[in-house]
Amino acid sequence: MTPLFPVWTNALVRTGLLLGGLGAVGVPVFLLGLVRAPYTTYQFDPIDQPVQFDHRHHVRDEGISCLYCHYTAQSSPYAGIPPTSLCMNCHSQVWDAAKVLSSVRHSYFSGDSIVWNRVHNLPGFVYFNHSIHVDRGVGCESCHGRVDKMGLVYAEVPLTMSWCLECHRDPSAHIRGEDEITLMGWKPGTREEQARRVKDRNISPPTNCTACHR
Amino acid sequence: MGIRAGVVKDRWRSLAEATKRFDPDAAREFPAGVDEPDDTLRRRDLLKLLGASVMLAGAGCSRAPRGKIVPYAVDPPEITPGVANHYATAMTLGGYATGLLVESHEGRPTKIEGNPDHPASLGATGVYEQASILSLYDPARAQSILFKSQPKSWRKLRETLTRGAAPGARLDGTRFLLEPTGSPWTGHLLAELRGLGAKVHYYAPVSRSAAWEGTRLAFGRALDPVLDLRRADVIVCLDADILATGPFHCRYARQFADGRRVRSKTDTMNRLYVAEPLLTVTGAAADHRLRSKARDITAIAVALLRETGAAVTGAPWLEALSGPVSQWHERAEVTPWVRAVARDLVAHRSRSLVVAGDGQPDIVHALAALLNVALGNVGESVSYVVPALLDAGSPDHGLEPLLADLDAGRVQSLVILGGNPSYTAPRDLELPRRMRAAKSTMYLGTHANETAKDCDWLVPLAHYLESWGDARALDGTLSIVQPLIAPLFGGRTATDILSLFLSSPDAPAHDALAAYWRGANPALGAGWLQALQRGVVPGTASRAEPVTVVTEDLARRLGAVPPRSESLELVVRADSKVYDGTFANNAWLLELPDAMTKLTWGNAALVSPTTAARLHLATEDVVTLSLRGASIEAPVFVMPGHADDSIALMLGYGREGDEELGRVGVNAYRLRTSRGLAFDDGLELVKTGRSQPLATTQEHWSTENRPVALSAKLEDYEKRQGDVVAGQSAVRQTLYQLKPAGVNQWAMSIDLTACTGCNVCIIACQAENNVPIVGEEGVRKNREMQWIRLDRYFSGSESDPVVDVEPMACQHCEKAPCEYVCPVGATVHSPDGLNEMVYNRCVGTRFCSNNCPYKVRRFNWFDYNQDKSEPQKMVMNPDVTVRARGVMEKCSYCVQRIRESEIHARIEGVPMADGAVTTACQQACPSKAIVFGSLTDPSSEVSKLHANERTYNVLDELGTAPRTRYMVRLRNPNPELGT
Repeated sequence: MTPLFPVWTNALVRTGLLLGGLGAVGVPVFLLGLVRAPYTTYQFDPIDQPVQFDHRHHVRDEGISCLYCHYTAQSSPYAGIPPTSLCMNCHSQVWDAAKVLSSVRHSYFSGDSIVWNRVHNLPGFVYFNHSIHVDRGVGCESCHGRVDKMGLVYAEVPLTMSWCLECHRDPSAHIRGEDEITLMGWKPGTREEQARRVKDRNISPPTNCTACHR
Repeated sequence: MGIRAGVVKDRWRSLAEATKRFDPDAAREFPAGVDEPDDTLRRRDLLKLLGASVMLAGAGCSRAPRGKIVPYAVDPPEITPGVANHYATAMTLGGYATGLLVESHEGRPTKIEGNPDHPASLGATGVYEQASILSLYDPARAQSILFKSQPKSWRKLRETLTRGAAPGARLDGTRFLLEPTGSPWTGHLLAELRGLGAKVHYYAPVSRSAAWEGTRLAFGRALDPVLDLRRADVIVCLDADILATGPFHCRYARQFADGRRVRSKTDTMNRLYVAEPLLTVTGAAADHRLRSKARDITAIAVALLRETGAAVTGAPWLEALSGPVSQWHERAEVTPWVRAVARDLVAHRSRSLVVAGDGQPDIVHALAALLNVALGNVGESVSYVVPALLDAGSPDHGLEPLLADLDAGRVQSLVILGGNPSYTAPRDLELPRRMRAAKSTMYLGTHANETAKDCDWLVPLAHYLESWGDARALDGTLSIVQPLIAPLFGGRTATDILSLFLSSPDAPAHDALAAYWRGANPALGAGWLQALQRGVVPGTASRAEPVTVVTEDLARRLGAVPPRSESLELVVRADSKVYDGTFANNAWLLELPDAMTKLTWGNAALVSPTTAARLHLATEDVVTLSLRGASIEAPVFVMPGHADDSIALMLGYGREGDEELGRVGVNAYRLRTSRGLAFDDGLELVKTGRSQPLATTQEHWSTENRPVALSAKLEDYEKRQGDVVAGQSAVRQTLYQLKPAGVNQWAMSIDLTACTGCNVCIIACQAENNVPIVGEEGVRKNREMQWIRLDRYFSGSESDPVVDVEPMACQHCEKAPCEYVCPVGATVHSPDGLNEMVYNRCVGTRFCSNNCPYKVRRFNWFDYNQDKSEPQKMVMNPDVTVRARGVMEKCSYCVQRIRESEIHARIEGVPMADGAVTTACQQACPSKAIVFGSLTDPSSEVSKLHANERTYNVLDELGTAPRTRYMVRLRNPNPELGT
């Protein structure tokens, strides 16, 4: 009796089953990986900006504190991108005719905002609050990385929920002294020192949903 | 069922429910078709399309868009991005101000709150104030100056209005028609204009003219009664809805509730009697309510005077009036009621109060004033002040003098500032036709509405949140109105237009206002910034005027007894939602279920069950209503508690202009004549045989006749302490630790004795939490989204039921049935006792809603926020997620406010005080029925109230352990009247 299908179709079926099986596991794994991949989260992706602002120069060379420009970080949910007028505090005196700053001067004198490209992009349903993190002793660097070494700023961290929760479940490695918030290159103390800091300052980050999702 | 006798059972929410034995649909949570779109695309077709597009959708995937950050070029002072500011201002309705604090996010007002320092607000608001923020962003507002529908410039308008003459030229042929206003600055400008020969008239469809005329009858001059309900143990309202309408209703609701906050059995309670034609919020709160035709209220007031006068001696004017009074006869069936009320009044002399409603004629107001004088209430529970409105009581209030001038050809130009007189003027006055006699007509209005069509010029009217101005409250207290935002659509204020005719036409409004006050009141000029900051100018309240009864006019008026009428009566009132039509394009208000009828998106002819049976009418039958030669068609709504032989129709609907949402319902103004502004006899009613579906929520979200709103008589409560809520005190045994220590445990208490059911919590919640609207069809399909539902329960007889109201939102059960059934963990419990709803996890199975015994979860059947235009988006609260289609939502206890307060307290290093967090509903509640706080602090108000013997859990037997607990409503009936 001739088989209904030639023998080689067995291999086809086996391959199909194998691929199907791999796909059933592989596709979800791939997708789960994809949403965490830097490709999706834009991690390590330097973003071009309308003004060639260099944090290396301003932070490292000039020693300007983060809070000079991002001055609402202690008082508002948003750290804030400074208004053009704040740039002009210095640049009306220094580099006041520089070509690279012409768009800044244009913004200041016309009243039109400089439209910056967002680097750290949280979804609309996440309510992150800078002021409480700064108050509790989380340094800028913990989330934003070594901005003093960035020419174009990029996101150093994935900003995924699991990344947030990592610290909310055990913040001890990230709690700094009050005068160390803006310090770049800060190193945590010993395990015991850090644990004491958390205890002394009664730090118990919430991990329930409405802490961030409202 | 732990509910003992003495607590009323057998509740029903509609006549159908009262008569239905078994409803096969009761077990269904939603009507059939709730998930189908209203257009032709059905679910099945949609699925086919979806299937075809899955592949394409996959191909179209891309990385998430990168956002932009747009900082200020120059940062404005005061503003910290991300931190809301609050500014004090005031909104006027009917000319009287309510002081407000408005929340502003980076210059964008998003939420209205009451100003605790303002006498009309005391921190609370009414529905109109809450919803007015949505009107600000109404894209249908007039957006440019139009002359015969052609855009024109402001300069062109000025040239035309002043006819090229220099400012300050004679204005003999110019007439100004304003809405009643108490603004002293406007008064100052008007005085100047009058000096130039112009004449000024005021018109509003709903006004306090009757109150002024009533006091003129009684005391010889127009005065405004200002009540103090705290000093009244017995309150009689004659068709007066003092708890939900009128300029001081928030204050009165607070005072009324303060007189009923029974915390122990030794506390006393005031007693409220109401006689009224249609069921109002005040009527529902009454201990004794008498249904009466509006026309018969006069006879009841006379009878009260007769009975009370018999017990009061030493007032010669009473004897002078005894002759005419004796000619009156009330209906025999009301006599026992009147006698009992009169005895109660007399027994509480100087601690009682009689109030007449604005819909009643002047004589009823006069009689109420006389009763207050006779009972010694003047100076105690009521005082009379000079009206805060300009020219109150003068003939300038009303259209007749203006119309006479128009007919005589004496009007060159007619300038209408606000209102919508073409739509709202009594039909018989034929204002639109007679207006044409003026050579030019200009209208300053919010929309291209009915009046705009009848006028040459249309100038967009600025919203009060865009305006500088001043305003006075009922008691005279002055507030400065400051803008929160520059006019979105180039709006102008009435004072802008008035200034055009005067010397300095284009001075900035703020400077002109400040300059006026520097001159008029140097103290205010010096304390200008404080006045702006506080929202009230201290020491500006009017003095109470001494009053003496003048009998001549009274005797004459009382001598003319009207013949008894058995015909049908038509009652028209400002609607509880769209008011006189002002808010006809406000979707929040249109979708708000009326406090008593639960009607949304339109009005209906309200008929009592007895009258409906006599005329063979059923709800949704369309009838033709004819009165004095005009007729309209309207659907019928049979309303328990309505007076027999009285048909009520709310004003403000059936619009024809650009307020497209307001086209729902029927235009009651078509039947309204100057002979009966509030009610009129001789209505004829004919059935058309057709029917029209109404959108009412009264049978939505059934709790299947379980007793949820409990009430008891005060005497029962006093006699059997602790029994009012029996069976709920047992400590529940549990293996789980319920409350983690050291964390605030949030909870709410709602006192049903204080709650009047005024609806403001619903709108406040909607504004705070970005709750969408679903439209008329959506409401019919039970898709409404309001997080708070105000249940209104009837009990007793169908024609004259007892009414109980109960606000119902998520109960934040400690053992929440919704949480067990969610397959994706989208609704979970927080350590601080909140039942959290996580929108980004929700996949829309709706199991939670199905398993919720309180029926307080709301599902986004469609993407209600998709098609918002730019101005509409601006009303959104940035602290709350805007939900998408397929997501469940519900009351969150305003978690965004809790988290904000927690963060604030931690940064400041201070413990959170009791009252640091107020929910939106609590903040807006006029009667302070809602208390929110933490149970961790045993001294917090909510802890104390939860421990009170009147507190109970709704559906306690289910063991859900709700965090929102209610206090049994207490009623204080007069033993003499029974029930």
